[in-house]
Amino acid sequence: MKTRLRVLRAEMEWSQAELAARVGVARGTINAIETGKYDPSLPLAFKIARAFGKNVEEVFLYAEDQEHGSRA
Amino acid sequence: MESSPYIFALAAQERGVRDYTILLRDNMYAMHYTRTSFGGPAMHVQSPENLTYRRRSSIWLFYGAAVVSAIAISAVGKVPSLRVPVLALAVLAAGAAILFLLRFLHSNDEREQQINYRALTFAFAGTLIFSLGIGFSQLVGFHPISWLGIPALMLVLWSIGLILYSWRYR
Repeated sequence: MKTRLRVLRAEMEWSQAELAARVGVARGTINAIETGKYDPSLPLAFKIARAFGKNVEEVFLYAEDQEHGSRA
Repeated sequence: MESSPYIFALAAQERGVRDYTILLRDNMYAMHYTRTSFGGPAMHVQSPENLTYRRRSSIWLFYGAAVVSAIAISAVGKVPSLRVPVLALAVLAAGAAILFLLRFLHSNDEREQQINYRALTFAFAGTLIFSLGIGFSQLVGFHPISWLGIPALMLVLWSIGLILYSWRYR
């Protein structure tokens, strides 16, 4: 799954730790999502999207060619 | 710090945010950090630093308690005069280890739970293969291992699994 998290975070001038505090996860989890190592659950994806005041599909982009490559 | 919903609605309009509950939550975080920075009581919002500290302290306390329990169990037979207090120490340390393990599991977020789940699967499969191997080797005359070997092996394999999968998801 592709994500615009890094771009949105930069726009809001939030650090990974700040976003992590807002959605209640560890900083490493935000980093893993940004680098594509971990796909968040649906509730976490909604939490992240709401933290930016956006819809889920504006933050996370599903790529069909990665369907079998997901690690989460 | 009291704020009326009207002020939040205005602020939301100014920021172009459709739902001002997001701003309410932002305010909650701001209150938390403001109050704690001035020595006031903290609200129940866990910062990532707190979660990480809680997670790390729990796992090290768990390992410490498990080691104390293992040493005490192995010392029970060697010091007959202190058998009861050493046994009590072993049981107490084992109980403490279980509590610290639960504390560790509760402080995990969803990615860390995923890592833990995979590490447990790794430890389960590894212990199964090892105990089957030991069982077959005993049939051909190998010396049986101590019952303490199995939980120790599970602990070691679980720890290896945590390291491996933490590295993979980093």
